[in-house]
Amino acid sequence: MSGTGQEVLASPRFFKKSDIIIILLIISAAIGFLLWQRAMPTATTATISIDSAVQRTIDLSTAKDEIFKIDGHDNITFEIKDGAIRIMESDCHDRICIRAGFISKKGQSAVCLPNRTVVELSGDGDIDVVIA
Amino acid sequence: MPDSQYRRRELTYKIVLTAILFALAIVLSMVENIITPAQLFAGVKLGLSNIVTMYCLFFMGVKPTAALVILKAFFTLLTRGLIASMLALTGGAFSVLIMLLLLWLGRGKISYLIISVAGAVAHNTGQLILASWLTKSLYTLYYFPILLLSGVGAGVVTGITLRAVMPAIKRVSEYRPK
Repeated sequence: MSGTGQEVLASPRFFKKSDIIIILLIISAAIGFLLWQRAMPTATTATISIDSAVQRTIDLSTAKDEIFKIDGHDNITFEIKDGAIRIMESDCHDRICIRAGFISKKGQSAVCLPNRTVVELSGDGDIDVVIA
Repeated sequence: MPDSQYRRRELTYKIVLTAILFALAIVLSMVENIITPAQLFAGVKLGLSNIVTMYCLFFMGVKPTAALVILKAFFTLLTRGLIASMLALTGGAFSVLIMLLLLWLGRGKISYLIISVAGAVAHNTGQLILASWLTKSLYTLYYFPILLLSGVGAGVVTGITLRAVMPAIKRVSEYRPK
């Protein structure tokens, strides 16, 4: 008895016709999610957090176009333009955060994981200070 | 052959094979990085090294596969840093858990292709949950649909590739002690 536990795992086939249906279902679900996200209303508030601490809150509906960094965190540059916000520059290796581009809808976010920086967009104001 | 000698040879076989698979997984992820120079979205990748993980799970059992996931995460720790290794660990662990679950519960009725897709989606989902927890932000979860789609794509591609190279891999079992 070789005891690999291999005997417990049954040997399935590689492909069945019903697989196509399953895959199509998953794809439809994903597209459904995407459409639902697109239909979300435009956000009014952007919250920038670093290391889970809120650094700055911005009212997108009144904000003027600007390019800025957060004090003490030189490595990331943000840009606000036409009521949308994006991460413009970052010293991270992946640069995925920059690739995400401008975000403007409620629920969207731009995240730079290595720098633990998050920009979240929300609809109504649960904010104390507005920096426009 | 006395039982203890057989057991020793079997163990050697498994250790060597696991090591070879680990090296293979590393090479595959390097090749993947070369082929895909610019990542489109966070977490959207081909996942070629999952081909190795799947082979290990299907034909060698849980323990070598767990070792493979841990080894991969450790290698990622050495080469790409702490966060990347945490992502690799959670993605790999989720992926193997889900695939194992499907193999056990499916009782041979769930096809390898679906298991591959489920593994890829689980890999991405695990990483997404980790990213959401690291950023303490629920909004990160909005990436889920994109990861669903890329998981399906990657799962199909890696599943088909595994099937394609299966005849060549089968010959490895000729070295197994009898």
